[in-house]
Amino acid sequence: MPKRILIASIIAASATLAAVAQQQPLPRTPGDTQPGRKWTEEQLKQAVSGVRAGRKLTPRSWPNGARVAVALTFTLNNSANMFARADSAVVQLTGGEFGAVTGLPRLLDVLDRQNVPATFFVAATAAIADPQMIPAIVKRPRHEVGVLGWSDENALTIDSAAEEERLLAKATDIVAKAAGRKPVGARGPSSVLSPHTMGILKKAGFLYDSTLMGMDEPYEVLLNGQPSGIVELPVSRLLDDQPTLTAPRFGPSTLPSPELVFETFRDDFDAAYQEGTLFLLTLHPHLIGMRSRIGHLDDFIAYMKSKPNVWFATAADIARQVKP
Amino acid sequence: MRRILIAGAILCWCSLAIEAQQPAAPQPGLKWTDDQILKAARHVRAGRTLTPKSWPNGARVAVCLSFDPDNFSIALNRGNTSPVTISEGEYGALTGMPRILRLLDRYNLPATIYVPAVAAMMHPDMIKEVVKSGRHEIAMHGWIHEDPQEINDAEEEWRLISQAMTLLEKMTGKRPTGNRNPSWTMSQYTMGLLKRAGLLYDSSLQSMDQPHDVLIDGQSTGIVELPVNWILDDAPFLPATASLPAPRLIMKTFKDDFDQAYKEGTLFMLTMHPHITGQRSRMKYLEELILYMKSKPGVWFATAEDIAKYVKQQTGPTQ
Repeated sequence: MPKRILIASIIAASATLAAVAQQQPLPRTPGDTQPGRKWTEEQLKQAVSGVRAGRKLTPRSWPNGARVAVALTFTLNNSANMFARADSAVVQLTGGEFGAVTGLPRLLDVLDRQNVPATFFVAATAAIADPQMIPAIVKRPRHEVGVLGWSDENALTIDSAAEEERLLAKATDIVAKAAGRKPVGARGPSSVLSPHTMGILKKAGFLYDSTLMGMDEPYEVLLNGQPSGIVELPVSRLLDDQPTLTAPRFGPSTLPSPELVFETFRDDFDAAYQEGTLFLLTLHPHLIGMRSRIGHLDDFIAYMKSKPNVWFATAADIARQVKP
Repeated sequence: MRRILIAGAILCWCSLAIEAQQPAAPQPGLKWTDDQILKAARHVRAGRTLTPKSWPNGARVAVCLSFDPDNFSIALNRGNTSPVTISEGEYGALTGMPRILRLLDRYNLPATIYVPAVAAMMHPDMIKEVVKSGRHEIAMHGWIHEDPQEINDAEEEWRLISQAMTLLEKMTGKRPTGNRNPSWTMSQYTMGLLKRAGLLYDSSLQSMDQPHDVLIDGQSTGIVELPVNWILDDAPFLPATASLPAPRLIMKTFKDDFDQAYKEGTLFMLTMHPHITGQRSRMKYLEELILYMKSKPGVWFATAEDIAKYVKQQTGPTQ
């Protein structure tokens, strides 16, 4: 047995052991809502060892000497989460439909005019409900399509690795067929990953994930304490239109002022530019595609373009650039 | 009269509608005797104010920049180990705190770091970085950001306080002298236990905006209280799902509060979190606030411990 394979299998075996250790249930007294305070140091470390941030992957410089990489990412969940919950409330469904029939076309126009690439994470059921979306995106070859689970489901509630794997395979298949290309990137539906998700993504050969928030620059994901090879392009709730700009009846709507929201986006971009890392924005066509907001996005892209050495790229291209 | 009647009818209708939506909270306190009311109200109370005649070197105001690196300890205590939640907390240790320490280094400012013992245990490098400059204080913030009111068990609370003090002493080489209770929540036992632990000061109560003595059942404890306030804390405002995630507006409130503290010559105690204020879009506003405060004459930037020591020395024994 060649030495490298031997070492690899030892690592694999110890990773499996770590995974087994991970499955040892942590003590919980029924009715105690603060179980962690009774865990030992070893148990506390075990509890958080499943998925952690590994080493930073920001390169010395980005392609062509660029200072900062900018990824404009869009989450196309539309009404997918309602389907997952078997909710067919008519008016609420139109709130999601807005993303497909109004927001996305408006957004694609802006991206065309600015001539910048973007990444669209699509929930499979959203693509089934509105099959025109993915063809409209891939008609522009500079864009990327990634996977957002089967139906914007919450993986923690599913609580079954096999079921999660089945849904991801089915979703990947739908997205690949519509886009004519196998997706290489995933975003956890409902902004959630289960303890199994990252292992499933690795097994399915995904290049990168974009769900975690451990840093604001690219990093390698540690899986049960071992470098996984998966690139994490982290998101931030502050660089997401969902918490602030959701319509009051449907979500938190904490700052329904696009002007103030884009002020934060711009301040964040300025600091990312200074630090020379990554600026990754997460927007939803059914929110940002509204008339009073789209102009702010247009202006903001123009602002970023006005700075020298900004690399606009798809998440996949950025991940390829930094892959360990 | 008719207008008032209509308004009254609308008001009644509205409150009925609200009542219909929310089950009314039980109100057993309505049957309390005067003695029972006094016992509840006076168990832990503000004693005399302890603002000295002047701050060191004739400064007008004392400023304490405090940071609570809770990271993922809150989730862990609740048994929540979901990967995204853990990563959100991890940001504080890996990204927020280093960025904040760089800012404090740039202006050579001291700060007080209230750290849950488990957060220190999970990120020992973060503690090493804090200790390195020699300017910062590390103080208590519970064992694992527990809620002592909910635990409601003096013995269990003492176990957590004792092991937190031991761990912080082991990691920093210095026994902590100050405390901030997690979530600014205390049980009926907490203040007594802090006194038993021999702490110099606490920073969790909210009855004044200047230093004061703490009374337990009418008796002075000698514990210096450096009071906090939810409106001088980034947590209720600045996370994306909080009430006003607009750093420019919130830092303006902090500045207005500082201006009044400066005028009154007392204490400006600011509470921030590395995973919140340590985000890229928040830092420039914190830097602007720091520059503003530094531009005023007679501002004493100090750790909470140094403020408490000075207060105690200037105002004499409290018991």
